[in-house]
Amino acid sequence: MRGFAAFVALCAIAPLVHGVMQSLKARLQGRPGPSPLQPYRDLAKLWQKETLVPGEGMQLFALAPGFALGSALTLAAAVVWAGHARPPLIDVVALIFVMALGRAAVATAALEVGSSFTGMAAARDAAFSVVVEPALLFLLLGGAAAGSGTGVEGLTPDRFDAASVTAITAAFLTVLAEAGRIPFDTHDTHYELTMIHEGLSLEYSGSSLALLHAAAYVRQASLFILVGFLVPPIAGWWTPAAVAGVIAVVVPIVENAYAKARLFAVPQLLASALVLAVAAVALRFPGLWPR
Amino acid sequence: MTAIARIGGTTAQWAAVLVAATSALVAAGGWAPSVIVGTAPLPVLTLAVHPTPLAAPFLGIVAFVSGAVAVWADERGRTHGGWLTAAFTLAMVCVLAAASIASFILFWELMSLVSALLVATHCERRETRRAVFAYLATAQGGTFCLAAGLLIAAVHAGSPLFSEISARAATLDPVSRNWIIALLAIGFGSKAGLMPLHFWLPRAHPAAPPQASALLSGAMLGVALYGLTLSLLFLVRPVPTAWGILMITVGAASAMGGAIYGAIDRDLKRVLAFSSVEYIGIATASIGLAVICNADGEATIAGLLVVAVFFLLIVHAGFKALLFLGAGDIARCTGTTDLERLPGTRNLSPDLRALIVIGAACAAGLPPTAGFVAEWFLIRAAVAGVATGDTALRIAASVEVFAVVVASAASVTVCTKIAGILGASNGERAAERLARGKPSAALLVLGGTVILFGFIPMLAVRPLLQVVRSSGLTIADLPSSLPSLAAVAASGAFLAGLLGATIGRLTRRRFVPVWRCGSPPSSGSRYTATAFSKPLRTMLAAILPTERRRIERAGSSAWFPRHIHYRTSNRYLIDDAVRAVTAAVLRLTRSVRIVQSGSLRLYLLYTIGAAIVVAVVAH
Repeated sequence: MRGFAAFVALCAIAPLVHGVMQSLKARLQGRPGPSPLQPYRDLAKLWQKETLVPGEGMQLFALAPGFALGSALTLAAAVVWAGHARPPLIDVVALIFVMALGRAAVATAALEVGSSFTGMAAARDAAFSVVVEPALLFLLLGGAAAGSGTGVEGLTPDRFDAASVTAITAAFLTVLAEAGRIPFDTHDTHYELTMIHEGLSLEYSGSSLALLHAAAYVRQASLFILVGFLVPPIAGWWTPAAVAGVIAVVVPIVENAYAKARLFAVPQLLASALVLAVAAVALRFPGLWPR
Repeated sequence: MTAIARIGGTTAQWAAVLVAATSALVAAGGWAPSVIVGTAPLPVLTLAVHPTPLAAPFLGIVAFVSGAVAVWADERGRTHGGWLTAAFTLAMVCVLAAASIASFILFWELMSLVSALLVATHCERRETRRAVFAYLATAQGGTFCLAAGLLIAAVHAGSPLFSEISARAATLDPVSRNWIIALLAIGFGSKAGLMPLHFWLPRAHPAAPPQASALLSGAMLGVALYGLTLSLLFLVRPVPTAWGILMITVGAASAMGGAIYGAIDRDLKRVLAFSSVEYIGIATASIGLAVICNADGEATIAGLLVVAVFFLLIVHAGFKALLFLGAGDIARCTGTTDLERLPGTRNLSPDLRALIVIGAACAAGLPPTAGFVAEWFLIRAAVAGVATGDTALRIAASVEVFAVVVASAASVTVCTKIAGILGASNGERAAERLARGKPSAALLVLGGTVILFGFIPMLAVRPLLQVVRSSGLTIADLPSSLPSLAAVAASGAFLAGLLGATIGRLTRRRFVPVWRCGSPPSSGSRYTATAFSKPLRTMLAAILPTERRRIERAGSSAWFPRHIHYRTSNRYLIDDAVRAVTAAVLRLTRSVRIVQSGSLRLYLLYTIGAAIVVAVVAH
């Protein structure tokens, strides 16, 4: 019951997390910016609007927002119920495939619609995912390498050491990429040639767009909490939530400090995240490194 | 006469399916008798047949795929190859049942030749003849290696029976053990399409008819992997760790390379051929990992890996047959399998497309299909290796996990490409799409199976456990969540998708033209398969060289051309290497041919020379 309450709370707070980040970013840039509650207003507005469907006979276009929301909610459930569900509902390996389902559905819909801009975004997203997915999996395999199983709760190390610091760094980079943040991508652009995550939703409107946005908010908040699981429990059982809060503050600062990377510099950044993630697993192998 | 051949062909096909299914059941139950034919005068030529429990899953695969092919061929009126298909099925059954080296090589060769004949159905086309030639050359080389390897093993054991060879494997000396392993790995690897020896696959599949492709890729790949498992885990055990590491390396390269080549290709059937390269890579790497586990005393993890690989191959057979037969239907409806020409094809039935999307999602390991459960199971089995054992095993297991997840991510790209391109709207209204024909019952059954195994994987895994246990391997505990977890993950995301669609239907909707950010519609602005893979090709430019050609048609002056055509084609480094090797062999044979000048005087000179040499040596 407590788990369910926490799950509902996470989904309810997720848009607020996005709103706070956007508002903080605006303040840092010297703009008044939108209210932190703006995402809720956006969702309510989109929900009431009419849905425009481009072209008939497209089967996946209508399904994709649901798949995206479903995979985000599964991720949220996995981080909320980590270590509490008996038997464990889902492990980190399955999580990767569930997230891939959401991504693939949205990219397929973008390609299906036949617009050049959505197709461009789908192509880029698909190419980058070839690097992001292994990075995510290796981040989440740290627990298994340390001998504490493949559950999300097994990810938490007991102290700061070379492996956990490497893992946290890699996780931060990967999550920036997954959440579509600078230097990988940006939510604020309206320039079609540069955007990836926003580009995928160009042809959506009304309630389907609301579902896609809700999915993005929930996924972002859950990913932040997932990074929190990689941090040793310095603040008791609510460390993951606290770390998620810290990330929500740090990300706007990073977004102001850096420019968006050139498109084909992104794979190099992603590759460095991947190398760090693999190193984090290798650092846990006994006998390979002096401790 | 043709009518008789037709009816006979269908009957023969069903008879072969029946034989395969019966032998699968008999083998699984362990009731199969061991039949030995003709021991004297040459013991090496003993023909023995004994379907063991280990072969049962593969016999099942052969029965399943050839049954689907028979239904499909019957519905589509493609029964002229019925006798060949039946012969191919029977040859595969015999290979799986073979219990001595002579019968194994005999049936293996038969299988190669019959499958080459099947590929050569459309031999009036030049590229088909070239593909058949490449396939035959590889197959003959492979058979030679197999025969040599098995003969060395038989000579050592003093018996041509697999049971005897297996019993005396522990006493092999290291040199012949390494030779046997190398020869068998090359033989089975070339048949399966393992990476450096895969070059014939992407040529053969586009040239072959759909039934042949489905059988080659769905069933024969399994037969090759059965051979690899049999030889490495039984015939020549214990296998040194170095071979396990080599197989993981080759398998990982094959898995990742196959998936990435598939992601950048534009022909549907070639994409599917590369997907086979990917899956055989994953399977080989896993067998390699099992070898390392065995060498490290982690035999239970090895057993678990074998079960996971067998399950993966069953699933692979299901979706690969579905995709190849579906590609055949696409070619029938639209006249092409070139993804560049497919978008907006008006006469592709939505049901057919939905089935193809299910198959592609299964190949990509997306929930709720069986592909997801299979890849998850395999990764979990490998992760057990990451968590225990010594450092070499842990590194090997990490490499395996890495390869599987990269391959899976790249094949998600393939799935996106196929699903997106097949459904790409042309701007026309749905009513204008001529949904010609309904998908074959075979496709429905195959699609249903891969979904069913996604939700209830234990239907296949439980018999596999029994079969692998009864062939003498010990198996670690299954991941406790295998029966339920996959279904939970799958249904969570899947039900949410349906929910989203329902919400979309309930809210106010209006059909409008595609927005395209306000730019006017034109067929040239649509994203094509080549455009879709462009970012990936740019990212991996070092290993995926692209050849670009610009053809200009001059107008009034060279500065103002009337037309410019751009042609882009992928260059495959391994194909270049194979071409270089072929050229070198041809050069060598040409230079040797100088000896045979055809001049009488030269031959007289040879005779005199030979006589002198003999005289000198005799003296």
